[in-house]
This record gives sequence, C-alpha cells and structure tokens, in this order.
Amino acid sequence: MGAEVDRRYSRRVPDRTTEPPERSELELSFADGGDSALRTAYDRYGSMVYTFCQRTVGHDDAVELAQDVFVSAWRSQGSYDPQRGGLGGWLMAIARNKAIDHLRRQGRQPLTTGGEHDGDIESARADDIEMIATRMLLAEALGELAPRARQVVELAFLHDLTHEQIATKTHLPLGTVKIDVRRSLPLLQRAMAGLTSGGADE
Amino acid sequence: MNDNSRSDPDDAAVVERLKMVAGQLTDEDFQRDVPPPELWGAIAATMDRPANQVITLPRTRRRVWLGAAAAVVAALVLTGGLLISRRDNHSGNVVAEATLSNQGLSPLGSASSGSAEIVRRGTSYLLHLDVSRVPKEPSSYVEVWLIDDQVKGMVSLGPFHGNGDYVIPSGIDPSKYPIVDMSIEPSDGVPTHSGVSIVRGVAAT
Repeated sequence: MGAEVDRRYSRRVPDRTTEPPERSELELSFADGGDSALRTAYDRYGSMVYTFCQRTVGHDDAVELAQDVFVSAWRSQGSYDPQRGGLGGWLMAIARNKAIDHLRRQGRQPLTTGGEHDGDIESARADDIEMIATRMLLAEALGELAPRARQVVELAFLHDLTHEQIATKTHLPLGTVKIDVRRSLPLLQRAMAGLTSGGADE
Repeated sequence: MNDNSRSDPDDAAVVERLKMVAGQLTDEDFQRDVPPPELWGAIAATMDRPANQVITLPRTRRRVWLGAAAAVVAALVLTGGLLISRRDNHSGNVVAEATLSNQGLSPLGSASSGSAEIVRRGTSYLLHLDVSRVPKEPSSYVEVWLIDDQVKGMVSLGPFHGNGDYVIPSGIDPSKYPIVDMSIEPSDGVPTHSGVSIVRGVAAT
C-alpha cells in the first residue's frame, strides 16, 4: 500500500480520543500477577495475537499457537517489565518466537498471505515474521492515538510532510502539530519496544 | 519528515524507524480477526482456571436456514464426485471454480463480488478467494463457508482475512460442498451461520 492508509481498515483498530489509562493499569496488573490480568490482556490483545498467528502459521494452526502464546505469557509474566515496553509488544515477541519455532518444527518455511489484491501465498523468512509483528504493532499504536494526533502522525511519517505543511493542510496551529508529533513519538516507540528489545519468553 | 523541531538524536532514530515501518504498512496490518470462542477456553483450561466464557465450536456447524436464494443456487448444482484437475494456479491444481455474486443476498454486500477456486495441493484442498469490496464493520466480521448441495450441511473455513487461500479441513470432500458462501457474522460468539450472506456461488468443475 505504501503511503496510503485505507480508512476502511483503519477503523478495525479502534480510535481512542484519549490515551486510555486502563492500559497502564493493565500492564502493571499483569506484571504484578493480578488475577484477571490475563483475561484483560486477552480481551485487549487477543485479536492482534490471533491475527498474527493466522498470518504467519496459517488458519489451521493459529488457535493452537495463540493459546500457546497466552499460556506462555501467563507462566512468564514475571519477566514482563512495563518499563521496557508495552504489553502488546511483549506478547507479540512471544508470538513471533513461537511462530518461528512452530514453523521450524513443521519443517517448512513460514507462510503468509499476500495483500488483499494479489492473494498469493509467498514464503517468508523469520525476518518477514518480525516485520509483520512490527507493522501490526504500529497499526495498533496508531489506532490508540487520538484522531487529531493520528492524522498528524500519519501525515508526518507516512506522507513525509513537514510540520508547516501539516499545519497548512489540517488548518491546525503549528504549535499543535509539533506537540502532537512530540507526544505521539514515545507512545509509538513504546508500542514496538517490547518486540524490538527481544521480548520475553519462557 | 523534515522535522524542524527535532534536536534529540534519539528522536531522530525513532523517527527514521517509524518512517521505515510506516512506509511498509499494508491494509492487512490494520485488519483484526476475532478469535474463535474456544481459544480462551483452551487457554483457561490449560491454566486450570474456570473457563466461564467457553463456547465450544463444533467442527462442522449446524445448519441454518439460508433463505430462498440458497435453494435457487442449490437447484443449479451438479454434484461433482471426483474432482479432476482443470489447470494449475500458484497453489496447486484448480479443480473447480465459482463466480461469487451478491444477487439476491444482503444489501450489506451489494458492492461485493469475486471468484473462488477449489485447489488441490497434494492430498489436501484449499479454497482460493478473490473478492472485492468486502464490507468491514467494527462489530461484526465476515466468515467463509462451504455448503452442501442440499443446503443441509456446511463447513466453516473461518473468518475472512483477505483474499488468498483458505484451508479446507481434511476429511471434507469439496465436491460434496460446492456452494461457496461468505456471511456477515456478529461478534456474539454464536457459532452458526447468521443467514446474512454477502456473496455466494457454486463451484463448477
């Protein structure tokens, strides 16, 4: 797709008008081993993890792999450190590792489906799996931004516009554009940090 | 981004990485499939915790009434028997093809159309889908089905996750399930066909 993000699909990742406070509460609760934390984490990130599993190991094995991810996450919850990154990234790091292991055990190359318009099945190596996880985490993080900030960020990073160009295009004050970019950067970075720092597995 | 407010080299690295990843985003990266209800049940069971919200999906789902349109389609079906290879595609041998249309179906899929191929790869079968303008709604998802020629039995191939290949479960003879159907399913955990189809067609050899 390149620089264009189709709004029809963008809606699949819910927009939020404010940074959800429950997210950090969830992460702290998970790290502390709260009784309902795994279920809450599943409700929050289950679709992302399951979709990732479908894309990497295929429909038939996706449920088993996603189950393995969440059970492993629960058993190794003590290794999750909210200071190092978001819970979504940490879960996706486990999913990435397990997807690669799963495909190695199956003795086949990782498979992934192509875009909606080509539909081809193409082989993908471990770094492709890593990239799928990274892109899905970024998509998830964009969905967590407030609508105005998301628009600004997409214009900045996807369309490579300057702050001034964004201000002109959106009719926002230049200072607002700068603040939106400045505040969004750490949120987007943190969303992917759990994955890029290697995550944690059993 | 020509970031004239940027001075921190750490930020510069973050921006470059974000731009690199953002530049590779695809539509598929924003799509999310709803996990089947049995997934949480399996997780909870493994953890030896109460699985209060478990709904076990049957492997082959119960029949639901699909309406008069299905009967019309079924009347056109010639049962396939042994499927003979027609030609090859990227995934294997194409043994049957279907044109998928919205004619007579839900207005939710009024713009949806496409085609399907039954593909044999080794000893297994795939359904290859190429459908355009599939509706996407936040509180529902689209599910892919094979239905028998009597419209009595159906097999779910799972949520629609984009055009491509869908594995037909082993033991299922696709010649006995020639109707290819896609339905809108509310995210309510009910495992049966909603009866709201957006496209349908009959795979012919």
